[in-house]
Amino acid sequence: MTRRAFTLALLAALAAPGLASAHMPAGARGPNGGQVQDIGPYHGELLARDGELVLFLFDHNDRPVDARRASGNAVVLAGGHQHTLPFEARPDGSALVARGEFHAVPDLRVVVQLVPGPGISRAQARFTPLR
Amino acid sequence: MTATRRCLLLGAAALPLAARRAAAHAGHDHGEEDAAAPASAAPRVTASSEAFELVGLLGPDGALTLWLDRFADNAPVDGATILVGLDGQEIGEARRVAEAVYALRHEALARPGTHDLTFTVTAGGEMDLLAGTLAVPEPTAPAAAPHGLLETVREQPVLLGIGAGLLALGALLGRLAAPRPLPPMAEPEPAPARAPGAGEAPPLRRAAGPLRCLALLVLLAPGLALAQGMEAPRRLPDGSVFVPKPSQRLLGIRTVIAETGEATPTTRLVGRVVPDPNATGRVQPSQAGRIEPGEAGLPALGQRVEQGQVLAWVAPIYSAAERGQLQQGAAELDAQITIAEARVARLARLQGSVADREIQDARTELQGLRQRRAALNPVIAGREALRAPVAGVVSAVAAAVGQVVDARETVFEVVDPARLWVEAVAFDPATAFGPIAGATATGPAGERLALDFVGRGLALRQQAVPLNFRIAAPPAGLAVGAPVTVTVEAGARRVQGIVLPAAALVRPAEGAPVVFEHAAPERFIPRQVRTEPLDASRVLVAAGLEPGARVVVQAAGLVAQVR
Repeated sequence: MTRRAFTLALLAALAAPGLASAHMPAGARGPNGGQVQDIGPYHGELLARDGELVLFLFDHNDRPVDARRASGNAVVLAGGHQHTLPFEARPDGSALVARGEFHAVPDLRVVVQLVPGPGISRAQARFTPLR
Repeated sequence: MTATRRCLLLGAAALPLAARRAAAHAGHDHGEEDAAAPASAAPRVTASSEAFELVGLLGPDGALTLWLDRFADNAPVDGATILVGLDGQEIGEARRVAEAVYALRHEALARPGTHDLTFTVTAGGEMDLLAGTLAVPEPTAPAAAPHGLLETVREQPVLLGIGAGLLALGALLGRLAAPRPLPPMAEPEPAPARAPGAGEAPPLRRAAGPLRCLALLVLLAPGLALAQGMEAPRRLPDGSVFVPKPSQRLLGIRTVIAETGEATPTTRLVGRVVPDPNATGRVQPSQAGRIEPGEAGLPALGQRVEQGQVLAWVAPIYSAAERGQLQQGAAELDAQITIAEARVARLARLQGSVADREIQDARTELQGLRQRRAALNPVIAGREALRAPVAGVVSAVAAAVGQVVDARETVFEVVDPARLWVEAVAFDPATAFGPIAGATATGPAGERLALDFVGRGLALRQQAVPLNFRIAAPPAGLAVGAPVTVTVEAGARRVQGIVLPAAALVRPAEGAPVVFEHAAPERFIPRQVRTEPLDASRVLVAAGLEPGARVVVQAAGLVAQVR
C-alpha cells in the first residue's frame, strides 16, 4: 500500500462524520416533503391530505423502517373536530396510512400514538403537517 | 507494509464508524430533556405547542391537576375547555377549579406505567391538540410490618447476651472513671447550710432536657413530612432553576420570545429637570416696599394662577429725605394749581375783552398742573401690583404680610408643570456635538420620559457641554431640579442583537449579567449575556442568547433568588 492510498483512507475517515451528521432534526421536512418528528427511538415523517395521513418511519440513521411491524393510531384535530383514526401498513411496508373524514386545513394538528415494533415501547408525537 | 502502518490504517478505517455513532445524535436526544423535574417530584406530564403550554400533576387516586398557560408569554389561560384523551380514548373533560387551573379524576391515570395523553384545548376561538406522556411509577412496596424489639430479642439471644455484657462493661468503666472527692486541703469545716430547693432541682432538671428534645421531635415530625410532600422552587445541580407551575403563577413570571433586531446604541448622561424659560416666571418688585396681600390673600404653594393675576401688592417705602422732597413737590404743585385756578377764573370773567388764546393757555396750564399732581399721588400713597407673569403653579413663596422686600428680590416663582425641560451635561464629544437621533430619561421614581432635543450651548460648563431637552409629556409630580438619567441615541451606528426589557436582566453578585431562558415548562436556565444599554427601559443582548428562546421579562429577579 502506498503512502497515497493511506492519505486517501485518512481523508475518507475525516470526511465520513460530516456525511453522517446530515440527518433530519425534529420539525424539519423529510425526504417525502412531510414534517419530521421524533417518535420514540425513530423519526416519523407525516404527510397529510384531505382524508388521508401517511406516516413514514426512519431509524436513527434515516434508513426506512418496515412499517408492517408497527401499529398505532392518529388523533386528528381539524376544523374544530377531533377524530381518532387507526393506522394500517401499506402492503409493501413502506409507510402507515390512516383514512378518515377530515380536511387538510393549515391548522391541522395530529398526534400519532405508535408502537413502532414488537418489543419497543409505545411512543407518541405531535405533528403540524401543514405549517 | 510495516506493522505500525497496518495498525494506523486499521485505526483510520475504524474512525468513521466511531464518529458516525457519535454524530448520529448530536444535539438531539429524543425527548429526554423533558425529564426536567427532579426525581422527587410527583408524576407530571408536560405538553406544549406553538400556542399553549400545559403542565399536569398527578395526585393520589388518579386526580390530575392541569395548569394551562400561553406558550409565548406564560400568561395563564382561563376559561378554556380541556378534553383529555388517554391512549387514544377520551376519558373526560377537565373542569376549572381555580383561575386557569383545571382538574380531572380518572382511575386509569393512577395505574403504574407510561400513559400517552392527548389534550384538546379550546380557548376562545383557538383550538389546539397537545400531546404528553405521563409516567406513573410503581407504588413503592409498603414498608415491612414493624419488627418489634421483643421479636428481635427472641430471635437473637446471642445478640442480647452481647448487648447485656457490653452494658455491664460500660457501667463498670463508668464506675471506675468516676471522679473521687480529693482529700481536703484545709481543716474540715462544717458544711454550710444549702439554700432550700437548690439541692433538689438538678436531678429533675437533668431529666427534663432529653424529655424536651423528645417532645420537640414529636411536634416537628408531621411538619417535616408535610414539607417533603410539597414542591418548592429549587436550583437543580446543573445550575438551572426548577419552578413549579403554581409558584410561577404566584411569582407572575412572564416571558417574551427573543427576536433579533437592530438598534442604536446609546449614551447615558446626568441631567436635571429645569423649567421651560418661556413658561416660568419670577415675581420681583421694582422698588423696595412692604408686602400687602391681594384680595384672596397671599398665594400658597402649589396654587394655580393665571397670567396677569395679582399675587400681592408692594407699598413703597421712602426715606425721610425722599418723602420730604415728594411732599415739597406736591405742595409746590398745589400752590401752582391754586394760582392757575384763580387766573383761569379771572380771565373767564373778562371774556370778550381778552384774547381767547390767553384763556385757552391758562386752562391748558391748569390741566397740566393737575395731571402732574395726579401722577404724584400713587407715588406718595399708592402701591405696586405684583402680577403672575405666566400661567402656572406657584412653586416658591418668599413673602409674608408686612414683610419689607428690596427691589429685584424674588417674591414668587411660577412654573408651568406642563412645560418642563431637562438640562444634561455631555463630556463625550460624540454626544456633545454629534447628531442626536432621540432621547429618553428616567425620572427619580423610575418613570420614563420621552425627550425632544432643543439645543446645546457652546459655552462649556465644568468642561462639559450643556444640552437642553424638552419633556414631551411631563408626568404629574415631576419637580423642578429633580435628577434624571438621560439616555441619548447619538451617532449613526446601528447594532444587531436581541432587544429585551431591562427588567429581564439579572445582575448576580459576581460575573456577567444573566437572563433566564424558559427552556421547559417548569425549568429556567440562566444564560450569561453581553449587553449594551439602549434606553431607559431596554437593553440589547449582543451575545449569549439564541433567537427564539423564551426569556423571562417579569420576576426574573425572583427566579434568580431560588437556591
